[in-house]
Amino acid sequence: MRTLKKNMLLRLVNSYIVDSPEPANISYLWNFGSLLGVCLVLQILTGIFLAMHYQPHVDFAFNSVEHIMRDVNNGWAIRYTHANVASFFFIFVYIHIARGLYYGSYKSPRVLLWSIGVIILVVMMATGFLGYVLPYGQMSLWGATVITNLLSAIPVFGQDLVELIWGGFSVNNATLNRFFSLHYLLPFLLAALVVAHLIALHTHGSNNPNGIGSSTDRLTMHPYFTFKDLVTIFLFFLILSIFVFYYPNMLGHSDNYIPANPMQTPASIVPEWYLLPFYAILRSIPNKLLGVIAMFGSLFILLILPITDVSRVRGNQFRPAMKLFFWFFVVNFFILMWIGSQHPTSPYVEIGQISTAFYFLWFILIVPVLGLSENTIMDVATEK
Amino acid sequence: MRPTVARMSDMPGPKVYNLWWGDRGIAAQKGVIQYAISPNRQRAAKNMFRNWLFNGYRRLAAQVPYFVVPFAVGYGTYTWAKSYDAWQNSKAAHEAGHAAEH
Ligand code: HEM
Repeated sequence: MRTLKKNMLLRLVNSYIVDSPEPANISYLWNFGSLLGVCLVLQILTGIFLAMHYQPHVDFAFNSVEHIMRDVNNGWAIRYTHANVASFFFIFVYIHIARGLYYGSYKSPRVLLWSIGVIILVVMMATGFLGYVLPYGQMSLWGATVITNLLSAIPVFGQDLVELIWGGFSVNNATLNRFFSLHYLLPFLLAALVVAHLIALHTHGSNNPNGIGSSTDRLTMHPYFTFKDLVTIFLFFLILSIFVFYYPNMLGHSDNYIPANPMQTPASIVPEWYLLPFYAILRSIPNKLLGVIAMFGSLFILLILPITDVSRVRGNQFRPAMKLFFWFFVVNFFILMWIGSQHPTSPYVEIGQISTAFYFLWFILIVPVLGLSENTIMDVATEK
Repeated sequence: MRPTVARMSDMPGPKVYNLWWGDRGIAAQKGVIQYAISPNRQRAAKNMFRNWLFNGYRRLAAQVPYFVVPFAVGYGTYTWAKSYDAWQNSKAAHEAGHAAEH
């Protein structure tokens, strides 16, 4: 016990996961951070084993993945785990962010923590996109073609930039190689960002459902929250197993079992489900460059919440109007996700445009106006 | 943030919000006593399932007013758009000169 507190490195372990004082009232919504950590570790481990058998070459990539599925001992389990944990990673990150939105976890003093989180989200999306290209099926090739082409909307040097990224004049062998290299690299960048995320978290401690300081009511991380985290970790393994063993391809697209063919465009090109809301935002702006800006803007706009949320009350627990608008935001996100999977035809285009407008207005209008009005009402009510 | 913060951050200073065990600013910690009944007599999971069901229901039900309207609007939009799309691609719509553009 003494060494745990005295040793240079062990005292970090002690201070982060043994003695760390956690608010006594955090709910199960605070379990998603540890689930995300588990996902990252699983992805790195399964990924390393996949890389031992994968061939990043346009002629062999697809077949090497089939080789993993059929010939490598338990290769199917490694690949299906990697593919499905990727989806769970995003389910968890969206819930993790939604928790932050609902309970105002982005507010001072946790702005650095939140901002690192937003960067993590962007890097996660890049990693997911790069990984989807590797099996080199039809969706891999055409998804990569669509997404890389977005950069051609940049004025003056856009086209040159895209060709630089491709290493040629279309998605080709060089592209596949560098995408593999980056897909291997980025998770380690993520790991470093997560360490920074945890340091930033540790400086001020966790928020809690009431949004007020919790220094007077704390429990140690161990055993209280280590075991609480294990509850959801085992539940995750249970549900993950159902997917891996019974519905391994449910979240994937069947077209990716057709080898990439540059001579044949699939009937519809859809990204993975977790990119759909942002894809919908991209497509709902008629101008290509503005669409690209809107798509990236829809991620980075998370960064302005600490500024636009002017409410004196942290979180939505005691703010009924904001609760209502939080759920409108959530539903709107699902609508965008669904629109992203549809052909861009009449009712869908217009719904996508309205949803995109609502998405941005929520951050720059609804959040500040509600906060201001509540503050004002509070001032009026307490005026002597 | 200083790079050494990782080593220091377990002991929050005057500017740090997260108070550590026994820090000033929280109720003074003196005479801390821990009680525990024998593990054989503890009932850690007493009424667990009943509480999960009834208290869980109570807590969720209290939030229903906040999410029924948003989800109803969302689901309404979804079903309307799907039926409109189906109609647009139907023979009836073509005859009425309302064919979807492709
Ligand atoms: C690889 C991805 C991530 C990992 C491993 C991770 C890990 C964690 C962990 C372990 C915690 C403490 C436990 C908890 O509150 O759940 C936490 C808290 C937090 N994270 Fe993350 N996180 C990730 C991504 C993100 C993202 C994308 C955001 C925001 C855009 C974010 C924002 C936050 C915030 C604001 C808190 C403090 C919440 C509070 O105390 O109320 N995180 N994170």
